[in-house]
Amino acid sequence: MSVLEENPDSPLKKRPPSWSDIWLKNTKPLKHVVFAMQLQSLASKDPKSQTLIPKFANIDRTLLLPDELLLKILSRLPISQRNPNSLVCKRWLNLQGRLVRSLKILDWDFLESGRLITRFPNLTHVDLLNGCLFSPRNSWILLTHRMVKMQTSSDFCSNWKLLEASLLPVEIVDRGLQALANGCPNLRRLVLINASELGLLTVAEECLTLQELELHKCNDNVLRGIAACENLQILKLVGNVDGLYSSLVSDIGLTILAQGCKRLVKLELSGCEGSFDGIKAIGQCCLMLEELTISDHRMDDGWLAALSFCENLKTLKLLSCKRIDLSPGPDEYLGFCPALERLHLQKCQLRSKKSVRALFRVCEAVREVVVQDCWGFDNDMFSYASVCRRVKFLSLEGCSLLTTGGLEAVILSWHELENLIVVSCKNIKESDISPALATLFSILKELRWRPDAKSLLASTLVGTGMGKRGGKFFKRT
Amino acid sequence: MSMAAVETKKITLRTADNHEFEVEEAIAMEFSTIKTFFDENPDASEDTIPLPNVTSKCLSAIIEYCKSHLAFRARETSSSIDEQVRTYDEEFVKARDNESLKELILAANYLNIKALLDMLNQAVADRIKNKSVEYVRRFFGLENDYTPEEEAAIRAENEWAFEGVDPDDD
Repeated sequence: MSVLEENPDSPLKKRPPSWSDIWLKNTKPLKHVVFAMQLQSLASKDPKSQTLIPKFANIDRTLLLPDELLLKILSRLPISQRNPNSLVCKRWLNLQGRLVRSLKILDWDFLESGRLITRFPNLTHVDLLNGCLFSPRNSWILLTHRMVKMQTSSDFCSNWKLLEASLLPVEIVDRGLQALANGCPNLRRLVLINASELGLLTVAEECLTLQELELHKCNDNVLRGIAACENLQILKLVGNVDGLYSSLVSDIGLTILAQGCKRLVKLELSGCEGSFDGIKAIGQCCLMLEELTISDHRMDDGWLAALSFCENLKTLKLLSCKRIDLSPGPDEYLGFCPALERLHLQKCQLRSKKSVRALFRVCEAVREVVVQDCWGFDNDMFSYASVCRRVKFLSLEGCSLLTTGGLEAVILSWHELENLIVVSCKNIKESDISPALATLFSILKELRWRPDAKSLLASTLVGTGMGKRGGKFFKRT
Repeated sequence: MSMAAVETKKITLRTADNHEFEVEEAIAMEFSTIKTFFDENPDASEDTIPLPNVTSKCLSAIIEYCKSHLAFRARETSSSIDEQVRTYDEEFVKARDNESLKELILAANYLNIKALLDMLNQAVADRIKNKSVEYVRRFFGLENDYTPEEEAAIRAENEWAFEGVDPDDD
């Protein structure tokens, strides 16, 4: 039946092009035919079968469906079906595993024993954070701090060094990283805690595509390992976390980082120390840096002025900072970030006039200002924002010290303002809106005005009459 | 020499069970495998093409599909046409049992008809979506080749060792 059994023609006559010629170039159909032939030979052993077709039906059909087709079908199934599918049979375990790209590892042994790589050979995004924590499985006390989740038993030590006590030792983490680096050459994103520079060097050497790294309990030495990841674009470092652990990231580490990771686009520094010099190094070396987030910093005063070295910085976020910069230095050395577009202040203490004034001067080019749940942000503080003449978008949420007068004083001088959001600012009263302000509101593209509403009011409370006052919502798009 | 002008050329296809089908060239060109063959061997169009891996039942269904979709494409695109295409595809799949769906997939793969293959893959995926392990095994005619210990080990891993993460947009 098969054309492969054709008699070769005599060498003098040119053979007309045949189906087998194209098969030899495109072997996919060839494999099908070979399969079919093999199955037919199996089938013909049965004396009762006469034709090809009935026997086809009795044989396991997925043996005929090649891997690539099954993979296409499996990839269209929901993620919730992955684990059940892995129990269908061993071949499916393998196929399903090949489709998984992103995982959080919870058990370190799963990684070290190699089971992770065997089951999931195509991982690109790996989160080892909770895997590095040893937690007894059958205790019912769950401790969470942002992304860190651990179960702890009731006899934890009284000085609260819970996390330190539960962390896997550095040597073990490094060993696991070695296994991971060898098994996931295409790794793109990695989250971990308590690694040493050696472990990170292994990853840097094997995983050349590593683009995103999140390192908890980081210190200056570890940053030497990170500097070897040349293609790193997104980096988050966590140094100190109050109550959980302390770990020092200083100017030394920041400078090493700056010189090694020149392709950084997004950087988040959480609980880090350092000063002007460290930030300056980053600004001067990481020319592609677009987004800088500083969270709960412990930096020395005077660092703000270094921001002007970040010439391509587009977004600056300050989160949970207990102070900004208590002694920012004279104005002529402050400079400003020429490309800055967005300034976000969330949960910060804005009690120092010098700080806030210097901050707005450094950010005078911004187009978008978001202030959310910050303490000490009163009319005087906000008045320093008038220096930012190009603001188009302003969002104020939870600024309970601001009054309508204070708001008006600033935004009337912002001639490019187009979007205004005011939510949960209880001292901003509608009754204080002046005619000039009302005129400004009428020409805005977007206005969301809910100063009296509690921003966390659930929709289920709507019928009870709570939060009924101040529910106006103007939006002209 | 006769004017071989704009008459629709017919290609002859012979299936595994020795049936011969005559189809218009346009339809045969929907089968990428055949199209490639003709691109490289333009003189071969008079010959009968053997398709030893496709049954006549499959081929007639596939020819119907390609005819209909060619007709849809000839008309102007609009949302009502899209609606009709969707309805046609649903009807095409609805009446077929699992066995014939799988046969069609193999045939569409062999003939390399991308749109049909994608549609059939999705149809099979829809049939086994969120179904139990046993159902999936029966659908594909699979045996459970795990020992009880192995199965317990995999279950434990699924439960304790890792957590799936929704993929980010890359």
